[in-house]
Amino acid sequence: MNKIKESWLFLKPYLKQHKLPLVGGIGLVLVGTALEQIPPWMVRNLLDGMQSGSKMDQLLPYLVFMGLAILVSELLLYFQRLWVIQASRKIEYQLRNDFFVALLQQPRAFFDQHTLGDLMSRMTNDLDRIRDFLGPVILHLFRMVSMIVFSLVAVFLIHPLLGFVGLIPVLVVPFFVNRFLKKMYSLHANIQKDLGELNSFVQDAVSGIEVMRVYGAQDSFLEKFKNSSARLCKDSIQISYFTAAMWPFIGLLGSLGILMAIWTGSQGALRGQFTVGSLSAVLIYLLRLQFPLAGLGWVSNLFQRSQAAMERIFALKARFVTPMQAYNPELQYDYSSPPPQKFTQGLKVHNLSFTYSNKTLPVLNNISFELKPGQSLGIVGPTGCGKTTLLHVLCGIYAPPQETVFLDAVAYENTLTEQWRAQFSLAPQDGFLFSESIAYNILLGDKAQEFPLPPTSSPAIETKLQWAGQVSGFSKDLHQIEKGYDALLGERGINLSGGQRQRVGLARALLSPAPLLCLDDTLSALDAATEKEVLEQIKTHLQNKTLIISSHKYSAIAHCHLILYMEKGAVKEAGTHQQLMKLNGAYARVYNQQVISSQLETA
Amino acid sequence: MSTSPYINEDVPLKFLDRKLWLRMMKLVKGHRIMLVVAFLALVVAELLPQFQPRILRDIVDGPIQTGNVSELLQKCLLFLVLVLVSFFLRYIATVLSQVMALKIIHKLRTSLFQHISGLHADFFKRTPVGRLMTRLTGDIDSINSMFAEGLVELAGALLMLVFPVIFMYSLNPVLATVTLMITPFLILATHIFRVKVRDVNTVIRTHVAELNTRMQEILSGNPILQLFGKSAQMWQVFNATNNKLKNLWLQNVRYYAVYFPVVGGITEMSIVVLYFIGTWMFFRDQVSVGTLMAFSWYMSMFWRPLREISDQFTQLQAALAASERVFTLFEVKNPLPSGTEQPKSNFELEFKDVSFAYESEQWVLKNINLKVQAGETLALVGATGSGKSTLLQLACGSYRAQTGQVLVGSQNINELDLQLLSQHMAIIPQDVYLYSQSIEFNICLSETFDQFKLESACRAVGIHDWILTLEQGYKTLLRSRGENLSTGQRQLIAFARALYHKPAFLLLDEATSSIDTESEIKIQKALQTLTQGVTSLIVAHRLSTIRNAHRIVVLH
Repeated sequence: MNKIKESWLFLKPYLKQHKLPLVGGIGLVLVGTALEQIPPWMVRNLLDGMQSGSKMDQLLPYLVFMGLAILVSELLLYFQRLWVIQASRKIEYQLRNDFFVALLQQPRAFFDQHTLGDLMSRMTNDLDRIRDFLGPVILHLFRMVSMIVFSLVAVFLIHPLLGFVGLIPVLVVPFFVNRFLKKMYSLHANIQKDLGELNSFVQDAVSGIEVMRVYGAQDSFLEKFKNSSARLCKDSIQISYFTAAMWPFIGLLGSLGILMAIWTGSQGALRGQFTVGSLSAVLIYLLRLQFPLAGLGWVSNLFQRSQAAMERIFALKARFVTPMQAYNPELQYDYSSPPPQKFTQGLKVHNLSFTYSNKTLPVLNNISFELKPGQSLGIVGPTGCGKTTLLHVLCGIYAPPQETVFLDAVAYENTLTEQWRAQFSLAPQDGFLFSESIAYNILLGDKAQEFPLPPTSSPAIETKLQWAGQVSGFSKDLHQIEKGYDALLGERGINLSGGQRQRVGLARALLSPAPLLCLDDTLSALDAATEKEVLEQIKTHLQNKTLIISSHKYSAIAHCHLILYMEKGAVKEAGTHQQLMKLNGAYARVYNQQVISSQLETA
Repeated sequence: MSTSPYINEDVPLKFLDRKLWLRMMKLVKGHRIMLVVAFLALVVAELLPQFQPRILRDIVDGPIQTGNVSELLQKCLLFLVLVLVSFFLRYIATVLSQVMALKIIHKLRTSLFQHISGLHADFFKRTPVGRLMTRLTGDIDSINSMFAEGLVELAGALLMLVFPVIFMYSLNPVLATVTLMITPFLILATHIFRVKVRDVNTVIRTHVAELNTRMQEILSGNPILQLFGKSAQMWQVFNATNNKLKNLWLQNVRYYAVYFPVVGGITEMSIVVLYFIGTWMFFRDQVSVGTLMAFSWYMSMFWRPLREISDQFTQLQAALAASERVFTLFEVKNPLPSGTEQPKSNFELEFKDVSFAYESEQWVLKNINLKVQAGETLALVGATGSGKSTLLQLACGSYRAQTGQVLVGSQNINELDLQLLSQHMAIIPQDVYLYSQSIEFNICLSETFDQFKLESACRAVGIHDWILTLEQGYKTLLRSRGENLSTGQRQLIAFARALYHKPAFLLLDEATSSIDTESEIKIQKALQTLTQGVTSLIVAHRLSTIRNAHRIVVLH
């Protein structure tokens, strides 16, 4: 119960902003529904008048009044819908914005614990459900409840016994519909599982259709597909025996209610307890009740589902590491990123140990080193030794523990996150690229570049791209790409190879003005000659950068001022290349091996 | 957005397209009895309630006036019987149509999958995965809802439209004609509304898709954006679409806010007119009170289906568009179908004067003459773009050479049954694709397999022990694109996959990205095991591979 209250409290400021249309709309619902009760009453008077011998001109006012009531109530309906549902759309817009902004501010650790699919589902399905509730559902809820209440009052006023008889379907139908839908949705959950399995196999099979084709495995894949589809079919058929009953049963209940009214009412009319006109009016009221009654059950079920959606959204919000800002319509969000500051004293790492928040074993063990501005740091070691993690922690992607990492003598925890990140530029190992043009992806590194990109390129942009392409070595790949920097990536365009993606990432990192440049295994994908060239270019064009390079080709880092050889998260050997070779330890061993293979390669 | 020459998103829909309906009817073949029974049940189920107002009229004009209680009881019992029978029949109609729909969909889905898996390499190269997914999932679901609900509901609504009219006329033709004169106004209002709202809704759909795509991408790439301080700008890009969408929805709401009151007003006012005329006729002794009551009941029965039909119609149109797309996909055929000869191999692979271009005149390979002897390992080296990978594509039949011959086991590959041939060939591309399925499925590519063969393949490649250290062993689920494995491990699984299938030919395109040293050694060993006695054509990037090959060929 508490959770429910909390979650609705969260919505309060949004609702408050649209107080007028929401409350006004609902007020109109009450007035409009009251007016809708007039026509049947007029029919009663009309028919009774006809039976008791009134003249035509005595009956005319009833007709006129009926028409007026209808016209006004329809007009009010227009305003109801306009105000309430439009308000719900505006709230949806605001909610989605605010949530998305909050998501963008979350650290990497948060995203490690939530799959993209889950986040998307909350941002789309769950928000949709909440919006549906705040708009159409609330509106229909009030309409139906007031319709039912007013109709029953009217029927009671005509004749209490008939009213009582009419009460029975009111009690049964919505209850029944609600229970029915609940059971239906839980049955559907089983179907969802089958459906999920089928769809994910389809996704898989279609994406990997090459493999199936080249191994001639069409038959076995079809078999698997058939089985999955058959399961879904069978389970769906089971459910349909149940679900097919819903609307017919509702109709049945409604008709039974009418029959009871006819039976009771006719008997009464027969004995002169009330008039035919009353009977007619009551039947009209009851006929009209059928839909709202069923609708009430449906709406209450929707209410339950939007509850669930609200709880999920709220649970998500509770897990935010960077808290979501409370809604304030006056607030202007400022997300400008600070420019990098001058890097004068150096990077100091002191006893850095790090464990991922969802794991128990530390990935980094007691690492210490110092790096002066303009120097270069090389990190090597076998797979899984923690090179990438170290880089990520240094860049601030994952927060290091207190008192472990210092930039210009200021600890990480004492610096604004955005400011810390502005000091680093990273060319990552995994080549994630946006489904936009290559130029777009590269220009992300340029702090001065505004997004969205202008529709036509400018000489300034071209120069930047050429430069980045040249230094990173990507310009060589460009020859194979038809549209060059304008080529679109992803589903709508082309796919780059793993190595090419890394080079785009490198080009992007090069454009950044940050004083520390980190390369995570970016050079290993290049052949020896190109690798040398890129390093030369970087040294020439980016002299004042402080370089941090992780690699498993030792040739890439042999020139560094300081080299760390890591194993299992700890620094096993550290020093310059000469010092490490003299040590004749693991570093020296691997280095020699690599020298021999590369000599053979070029031979 | 559509880029594939094979798939057209915007197929213009001709509602009365005879060919389309014929195909739809073909789908129903085998379920004809179910369809007919469902329809008949529905007709009767809709017909029976039409008698209810008549019974009311009889009661009002009869027993209530005469005081005959037993007649009243009789009529009420009749009413009850009608209600129960029509409930039962309605249930049957719904169940039958839903079951029928599910079975049709199962068959359709399976045939579509079978058809797609038989298509050629070029089709997949040019058709985005997303499109195919929509065909196999979303479009099929549309067709399902059409058969399960759409057709039946539409038929029901049409009946509920026709029957009251018939019954109204049987009660009093004059009154019926007068009240039905409202109908054209209603239809006009509905039509105008539908046209206006359809355009808005189409634009809305596009924007929703765009918003979701943007959201997904920005969230995926958020680490990069945060790193380069671009999150704020991306949010503005997102917000622009979000805002546009909001305005479109507001417009949509406006249309609906006008539509419902207008339609409601027309239908309700028509009842006022009914009572007006009815009263006037009553004073001329042309109509009884009972008739008037029955009439107003019929009218309320009549208006609702009219509105429902409009909705059903739109849904039906969408479903038909989906079927059109699905049928079009069925029509895609391989322009160069596979041959039918059985491969009888002498395990030789030969290229005779082969030239090939993906696009016209852009020759990737020119006059290649190459022969790989049985059991020989041939390493191909050369600069990027020299066509090495393409040779592999030709060797397995994914593409056809424009000139020259590709001979597998001295038979021309164009004449061989490619599916049979594939079962003797193992191809390992540069980027290994792993399914989001178990390790055993990824290696054996089937749900039924030989456990012993599987384990020995894995042992030979050197991953068996590692697999056993995993919590669920061979049943461990991998993530697509193998995200939870290192490059080296993925290569080794690809090797195990090849080895399991005991190929006669091996076509390997070595990965260019670097692999750590321990995996390197394992891969070298595994490669040697794999190529033992197997005719192998390898696009080599690793020194060790080149060293261990029997022959080396350099391409320019």
